[in-house]
Amino acid sequence: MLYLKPTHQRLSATRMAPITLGFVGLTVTAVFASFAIGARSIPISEVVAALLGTSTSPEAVVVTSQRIPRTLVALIAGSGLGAAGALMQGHTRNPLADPGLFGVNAGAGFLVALTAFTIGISSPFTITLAALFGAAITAVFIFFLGLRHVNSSALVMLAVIGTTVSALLSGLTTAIILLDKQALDVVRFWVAGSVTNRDTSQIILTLILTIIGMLLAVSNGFSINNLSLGEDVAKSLGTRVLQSRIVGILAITLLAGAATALCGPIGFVGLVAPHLARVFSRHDYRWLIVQSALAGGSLLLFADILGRVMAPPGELQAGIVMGIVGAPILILIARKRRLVAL
Amino acid sequence: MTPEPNSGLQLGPIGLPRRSTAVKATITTLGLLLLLTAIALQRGEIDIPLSRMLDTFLGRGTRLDHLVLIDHRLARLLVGAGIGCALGIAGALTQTIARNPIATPDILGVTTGASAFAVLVLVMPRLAESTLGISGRAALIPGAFVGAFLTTALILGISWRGGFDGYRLILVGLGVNALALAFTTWLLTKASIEEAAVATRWLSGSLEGVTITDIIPLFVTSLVIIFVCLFISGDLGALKLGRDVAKTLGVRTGRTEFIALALAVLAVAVTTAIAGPIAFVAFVAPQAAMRVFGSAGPPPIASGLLGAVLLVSADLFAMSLPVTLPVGVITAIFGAPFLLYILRHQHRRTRA
Repeated sequence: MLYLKPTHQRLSATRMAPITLGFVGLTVTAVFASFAIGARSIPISEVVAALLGTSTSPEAVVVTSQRIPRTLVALIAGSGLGAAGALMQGHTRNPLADPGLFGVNAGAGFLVALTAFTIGISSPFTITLAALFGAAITAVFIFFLGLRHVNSSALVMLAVIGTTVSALLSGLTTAIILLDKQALDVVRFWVAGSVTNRDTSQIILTLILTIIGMLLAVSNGFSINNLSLGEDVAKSLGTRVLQSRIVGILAITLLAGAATALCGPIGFVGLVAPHLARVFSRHDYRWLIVQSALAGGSLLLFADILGRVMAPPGELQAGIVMGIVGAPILILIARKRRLVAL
Repeated sequence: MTPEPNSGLQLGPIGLPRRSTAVKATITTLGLLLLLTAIALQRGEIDIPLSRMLDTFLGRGTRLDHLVLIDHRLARLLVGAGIGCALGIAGALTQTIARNPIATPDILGVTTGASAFAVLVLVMPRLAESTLGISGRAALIPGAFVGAFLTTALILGISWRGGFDGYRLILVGLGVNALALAFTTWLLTKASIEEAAVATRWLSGSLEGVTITDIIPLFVTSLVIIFVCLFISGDLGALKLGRDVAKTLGVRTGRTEFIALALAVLAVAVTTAIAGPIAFVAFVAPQAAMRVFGSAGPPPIASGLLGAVLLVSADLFAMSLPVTLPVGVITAIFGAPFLLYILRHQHRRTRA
């Protein structure tokens, strides 16, 4: 094992680097598409000029003041959710794991609503803190349940449990917003999962948290590789099981919680992104987490772009588009084959 | 399963086996229902003593008493009981034909589908006017029915692969549920703030504002469902043993399953249209009834009784809180842990 490892890693690197570069290319494409496409058609030359700062036309202002922030938001939230999904799928060995489907986003959302209602202040800092706390509680709960059983029925059952917890939490959230019409007006757009008109300080806060979470996630990849052989094997390979689980939960909390605080609960990014990455690469989580983050970022960007052009004159929130696009993919996964543990 | 000869009651195709647990449970449930009725009729802001209550029921009461007692408390009680009953039966029917406790309309997304279309009718009155010919609250029932029917057809159509695998059915249900949810959220953002407020309140499943007129469609539906259930209860009992066994026993399985499913869709549509999606009653009532009544599978009629008890008590509980919550929130809060318990329990046995 000791002398096999370097070869294995080199092999992995030569195969994975081009694939990862491909995902980087996809993300860059998505970012530029997001700059260029919108309800208002702006010629490419004007977009480039706006990006370079050489133009001050109204079109350029639209690009710099509207499209660049929302692109950044979608990229941060999408990559966070994608990586969180890969982590959840890796730790629970469940191909259905997703921060949205398993209730982590609902947990974050509920605590945001609760904090807004009880304390009343909705500063970016309190919102984010509440979301992180809610995400952490649900993530621990899901880990606790999900690590017990890995047969095919349990995989589906965990999804049912997640949906149940989501139903419970969104019921409570509804109860809260019903008491306050003003809260309803805020929350009904927030729950739709929108990436527009976000507070700048919150974007920065989320960016910092996402970077920390991403570092934790990447450092967790090697342990997940060992853990996917089963806890006993992982232990004998020298993995500290409890420690890596805790790092995993921390990373999921930071990534999914911060993304939810920023955009509201967005489902299916964490489900679809790792599956997309797995089409090209194998189950090497050191790479899969990075690729899922890139895929997740591009996915949410494309969802947002689609939402801008799908229903003119209005816009469709990115979270709604993800629901409409993601649900059929879940159905596809359900239909395609017998569910097996990862 | 089979009743011993000369025990129980047989009236043509309708048979009622006599089992002491079931009899005791039935008496207890009916007693509970009576007790809940008494509580529901006397509790509230205005104190009405028993003599005035009797006067009001005999038509000799004051107008205020009539308004409070009949139009308000009794209407809410009856609508709650009717909805609980219909949902309980719907859950028992789907659990029986899928042979899986998770396969209920609320978990598979049929309720969500029904409410998505009901919200569509609510926020786009012009569309409702042109397709259904009616708009407003009157259009809710047909709207919800279309939604429930389409969702069921979609779930069954997608998960059919020469048979229904229980897990595939559930996963597809979750997917369809998410789809309907996304659709509803989109509709809510399209609506004006007033419409959104109405729709959100309705979407949380509330008995607030139900009127005495809601009772008519509800009771007609409930009676039809109970009546048909009595006729197919024998076939349903055989279906619990599996499709193949049921076939060899001479049951026309396809027809029975279709009828049961149609009844469930009808129940979900009507109840959702009246009070919005009320979560977990269709799931909890049959599972609880199975345990309380000591039967081998979810018993439809007993589930209806227990569903009525559950919903009425949940509503009474909701009203007694310092902040009035919609009953759907209460059923979600109490139903979700029960589902988690069943899931844990189900693990030990291989299959329900």
